[in-house]
Amino acid sequence: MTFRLTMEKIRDNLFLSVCMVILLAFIISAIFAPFLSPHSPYDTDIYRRLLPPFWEANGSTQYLLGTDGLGRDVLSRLIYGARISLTVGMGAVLISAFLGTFIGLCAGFFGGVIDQILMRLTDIQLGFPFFMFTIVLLTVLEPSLLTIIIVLGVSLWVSYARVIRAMVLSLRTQEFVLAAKVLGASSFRIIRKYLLPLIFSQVLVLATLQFADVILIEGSLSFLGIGIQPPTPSWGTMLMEGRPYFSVQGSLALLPGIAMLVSVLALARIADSLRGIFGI
Amino acid sequence: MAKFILRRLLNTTFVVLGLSTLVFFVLRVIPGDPAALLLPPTAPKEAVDALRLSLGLDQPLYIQYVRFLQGILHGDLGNSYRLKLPATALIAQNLPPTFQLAITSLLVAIIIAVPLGILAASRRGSALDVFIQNLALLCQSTPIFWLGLVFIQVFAVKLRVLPAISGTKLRGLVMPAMMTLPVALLPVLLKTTRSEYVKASQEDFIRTAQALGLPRWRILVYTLRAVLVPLITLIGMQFGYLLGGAMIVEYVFARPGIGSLAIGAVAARDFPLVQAVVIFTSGVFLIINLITDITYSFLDPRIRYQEASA
Repeated sequence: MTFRLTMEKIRDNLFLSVCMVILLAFIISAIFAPFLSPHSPYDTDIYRRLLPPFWEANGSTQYLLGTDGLGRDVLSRLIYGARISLTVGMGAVLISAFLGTFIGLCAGFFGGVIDQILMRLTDIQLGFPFFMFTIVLLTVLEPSLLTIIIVLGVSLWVSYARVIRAMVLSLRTQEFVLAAKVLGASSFRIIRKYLLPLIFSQVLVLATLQFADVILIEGSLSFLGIGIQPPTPSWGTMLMEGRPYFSVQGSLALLPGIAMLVSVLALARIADSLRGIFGI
Repeated sequence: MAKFILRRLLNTTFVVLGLSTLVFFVLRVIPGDPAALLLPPTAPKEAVDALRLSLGLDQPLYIQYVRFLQGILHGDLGNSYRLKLPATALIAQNLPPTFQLAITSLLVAIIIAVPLGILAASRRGSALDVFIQNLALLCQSTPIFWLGLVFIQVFAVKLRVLPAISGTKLRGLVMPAMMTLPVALLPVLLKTTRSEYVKASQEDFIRTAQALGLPRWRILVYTLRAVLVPLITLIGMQFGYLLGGAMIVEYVFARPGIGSLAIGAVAARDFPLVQAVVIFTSGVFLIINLITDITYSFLDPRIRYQEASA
């Protein structure tokens, strides 16, 4: 029994450590993209278009993962793609986490009219099927890196607001909060000193999960042509641009999707174990 | 009960109104003159003016807004700029394929997810449980548009067994509705079934049933009944998600439908059509949520009592 438990722990940690390594690799390639990528992600050359990756016949080590329909180096574009994914993910998650936590805290802590108004706002936001909401906003705004970040940031705050509000509602009647109130602590102080530390772990778990979601959503939007615009190398745009060449060079269809799948899987797995660690 | 339904109905009406207003004003903020956008750049100024007049765009914003609201009340969501047809007709025309896709995918997902969830829950902590949970994690992390592209490569291009462009025929439905979209719906259904089954099987009434020595199938039936309520809520709530997924899948497999309609409208900056599709889908979404609320208060009397005392 103890042996089995130990084995389970190791196996769990092994999977988890692999995920950590993957996440680290993505963050590093995102930050150091200019130093890591062998070529420029924008350099086109009609004479070396659609080269296969190195493991196929005619593959060269100069272009490890081959080239796309315009002769751009796929490996370099994938590395820069990590940069786009992580930028959009970080940006959108930061905005929505701040917004959602703030709204949830206010609604739960102050209650009354403020709570009513904020919760109606949440209802309206939830009334939009999420994808429709992003589409309306992206129709109005010119799609760019910044607009994607803002649009996803403002459309994803609801999950934080709901969870944090529920947490605050149950926390605010607990003795340590009441004691602080009796001692004359200001609302700001109670929130900062007593509520935020307890909420933090929950926000962290939600943020990690959402990071994964945002990578998938950005990929879909870019693939639909209303997200990141070519020639910027996002994994979604790579799939969109590569689509006419899939039957000629199959790796163009596989590689960006695998990059997306692996990074999202790592993030989702890490969020799962964070949840276990914090006991949520 | 009637009071409960009435209150929910009022609430929904309020949200739909708020939504429509929001959509109307957001889409009017866009700089540029739609009339000028619709005509070729060389069109004479008189033609642009005439078009603006016929679209009612010369009126002040609040009059346009009142007309828009009147239209909604009469079931008129305006005309598409590009296709010159009433938006409601276009929606009605594109609704059946989306409905077909959504229902098939949901059914396939439920048929796979519920038994797997129960299996995982009843062998909690076993290798099988871990495997099923990791499977859910894998599905959750898969970009479905990419999965669709890979399926097209494998089954349409290499093996040539299924059509790449999905019509409304059954064979065309296999890849999008039975293999691609269910993957996106599976994880949440599976996880909820598992956790709710675990929760339900620890309840007092199940322990009593076990102590009384009831046959296993009857205990299973009791547990399933307890799982049903959260599951129905979840399925109702997943509708919005289903719609987003359907949109992408329609695009990948070149299927007609609400999603393709919306994407086309966005690409052509056909604002009345975008507006109509958004209001329509949000309306359906809210009505489905309303029906879900009412259904589960029928299934679980406890919710009714809570509502009544609240």
